[in-house]
Amino acid sequence: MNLREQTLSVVVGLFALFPVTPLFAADLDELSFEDLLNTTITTASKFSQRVSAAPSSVTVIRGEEIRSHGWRNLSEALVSVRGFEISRATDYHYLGVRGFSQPGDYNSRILLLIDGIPSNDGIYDQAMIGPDFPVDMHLIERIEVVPGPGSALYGGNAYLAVVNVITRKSDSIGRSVTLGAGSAGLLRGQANIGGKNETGRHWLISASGERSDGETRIFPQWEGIGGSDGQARDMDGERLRRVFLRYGDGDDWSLHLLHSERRKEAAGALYATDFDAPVINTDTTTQFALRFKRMLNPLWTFEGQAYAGDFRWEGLYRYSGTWESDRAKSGWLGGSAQLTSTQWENQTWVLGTGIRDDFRRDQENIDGLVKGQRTTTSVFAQEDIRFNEHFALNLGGRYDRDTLDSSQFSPRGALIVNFSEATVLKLMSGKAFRPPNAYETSYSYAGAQLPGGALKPERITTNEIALEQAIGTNGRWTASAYRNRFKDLIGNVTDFDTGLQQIQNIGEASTTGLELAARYLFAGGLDIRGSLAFQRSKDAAGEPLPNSAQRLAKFLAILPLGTYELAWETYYTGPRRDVFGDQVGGQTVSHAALSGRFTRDLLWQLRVNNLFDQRLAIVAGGEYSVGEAGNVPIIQDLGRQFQFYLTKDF
Amino acid sequence: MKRTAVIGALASMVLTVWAGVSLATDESSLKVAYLYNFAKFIQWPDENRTNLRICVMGNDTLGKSVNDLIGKPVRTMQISVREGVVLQDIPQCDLVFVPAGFKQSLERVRQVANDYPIVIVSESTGTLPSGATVALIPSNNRIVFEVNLTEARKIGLKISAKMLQLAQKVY
Repeated sequence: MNLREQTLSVVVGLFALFPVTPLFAADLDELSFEDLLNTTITTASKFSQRVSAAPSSVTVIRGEEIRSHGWRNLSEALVSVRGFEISRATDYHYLGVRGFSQPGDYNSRILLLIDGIPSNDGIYDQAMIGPDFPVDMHLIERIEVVPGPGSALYGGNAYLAVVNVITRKSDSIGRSVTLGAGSAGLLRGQANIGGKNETGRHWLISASGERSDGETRIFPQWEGIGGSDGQARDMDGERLRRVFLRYGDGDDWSLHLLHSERRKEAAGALYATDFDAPVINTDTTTQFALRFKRMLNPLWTFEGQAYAGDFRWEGLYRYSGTWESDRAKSGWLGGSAQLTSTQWENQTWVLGTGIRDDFRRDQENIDGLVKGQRTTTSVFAQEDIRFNEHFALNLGGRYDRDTLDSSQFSPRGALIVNFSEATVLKLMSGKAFRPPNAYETSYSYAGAQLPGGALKPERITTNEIALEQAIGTNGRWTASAYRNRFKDLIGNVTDFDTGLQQIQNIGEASTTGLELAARYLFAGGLDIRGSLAFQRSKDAAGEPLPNSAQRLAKFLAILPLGTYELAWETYYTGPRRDVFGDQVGGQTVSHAALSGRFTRDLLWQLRVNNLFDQRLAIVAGGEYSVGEAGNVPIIQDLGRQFQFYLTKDF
Repeated sequence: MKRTAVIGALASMVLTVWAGVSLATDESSLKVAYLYNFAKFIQWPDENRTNLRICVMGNDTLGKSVNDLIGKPVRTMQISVREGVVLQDIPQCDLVFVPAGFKQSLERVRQVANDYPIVIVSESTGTLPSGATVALIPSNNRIVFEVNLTEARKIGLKISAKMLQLAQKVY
């Protein structure tokens, strides 16, 4: 026996000394209480990394909260995050982050991950954060929201924030059926079945569908034009279908396949269409992913992912009584591999590489078909160094290069100072980028829009300082101050002479802000969280950016009332400007949900959106202002709406 | 390789004898074994069904060892396991394991469990916390347990005399 074999035998021997799980499992039946009382513990349980050690100001939204509040869309959950705003236009929901909230931008400045897999399509680079989000909210275990530049780890589009939606374990979902009904002809059904066998193999099947007629939307600007009373009737309907399948083996590997379709009628004469017909958008996506993880040895871990996606969009527009269609088809393949090492004391290294091939980027309208392709390759590295119990440094960087001749380096650094167990100070700085999407570079429409052509990627530099302080074991408050500098922002420009629109790099902007947030869980179960944000934004001319609220205030509470539970949300949005630079006043909206049980297996929930039936303004994008009515600075949001759900568990 | 394994096993035996320990395991496996024994020695009022549902709150609370419970027989029932269970899921459980780090109070867990016959197993460093039916308590590198019999009786659970005998304390 050589030295290597000897070493191996000793290692095997040591493993045998500590009868680990499989050996113990065989004895599970025979082990009596007496045996258990005499068994000693060899290794204590491990706990995962605490939020306070992360090199960013993470907000985690838990699945419990989603269910208590009855959130049906990702946007309803994201609006609870400090400094985040949602504009629910009639077509899509738009997310604003830290004073940067461009109506109509298709959320291309947010990277949306589903279980760590990128889900933005390859034409609009759109993060589907509204009802188009392809996974049912019931399947979510938690949402990790990381504001700030994420390109150092994730590359392009991780520009304003990274949102990672983590789905629930198959066995925790069990079997259930949910039926719901509500205002505006809402009907909803959802069923899921999941499980795990004794070898750790798990599986999940979930399907859901939803329909609603929508509300009559009011556009005072259209009153009197072509005999219209300014009311868009029967032009707000919505149909949703979603399927999610998953199969895997513990954390070692898992496969998921998701499919979703959303058809939405959008009122408001978008893109100069007829006011008395809606624009009809159909978004369909199918995404497949394989993830695997392997401990190479106790100090090295390999993680890999491979994914494929297909996204199709069709828009139907009516111009002077004639329907026209506009289509986009996106197909992508991607993969990444990363090694994590704790080989060196007090250091954690991550090294990785990735590739994404957007092999199909087809856009087709009345003018014809434009094809495109883009392949992005990347390498990234990150290091965590713990100098002592007080100081830690996190450094990272990523280099991305694509076949459209763009290469970007995105660095990030954070110094983390632990004054004590309860107090953490973080100094963070980083850069991120967003490549121009295929729509911005290639879309054109004869007589209205020229292709953007060779656009430079948008860039952002962020500096942030954050203080996090625990309040006992059940609470925490945080304060953070940040400054974002935007460069080469991409936007729409109308040529003065020809009246033609073109997407161009329009210049610089900056946002600065201060955020205060707190959360506390009281002994009786009352869970309260709230935040305040003070934001200032400036475009290249020194004027505030459109739809950038100066102040945001949020209050959420989950209050147990015996076996019932009341969930409350109040959001204040301060004064902001519309796209024409005119002031829009502040507004407050509250939502409430009450849950209880008819029987042990039958749960009910009543949710009321906009409880006090407030009249709410949504700052509209330029697409609402190109019709005969001219300026449409704001659209009116929905009034009070009721939803009732029944969930039966089996 | 065969020879290596034999030598390995021998080495382990020698080391075991040398350590003077009859039984040893990791903390999670031991807790899982306890949960299985509690299921065997507690009787539920509604056992005319195929499944006995054991739930674990929090994620990766008991690691992979919890898989050992899946499909194990308890009288006429088979154990099914749900991990990552949150408050709203508790009524769908027959036995719930609440780890020490769980933020919500046990009173709240009990409140959600209503008066349904649900065994709440907590972890505690001191006496049995109110709300729990059974508490696992670390003691001298071992784990012992306490039982709240009053609470158990109130919700229709029957606890075997043997389990009560071995409990560190019965309330």
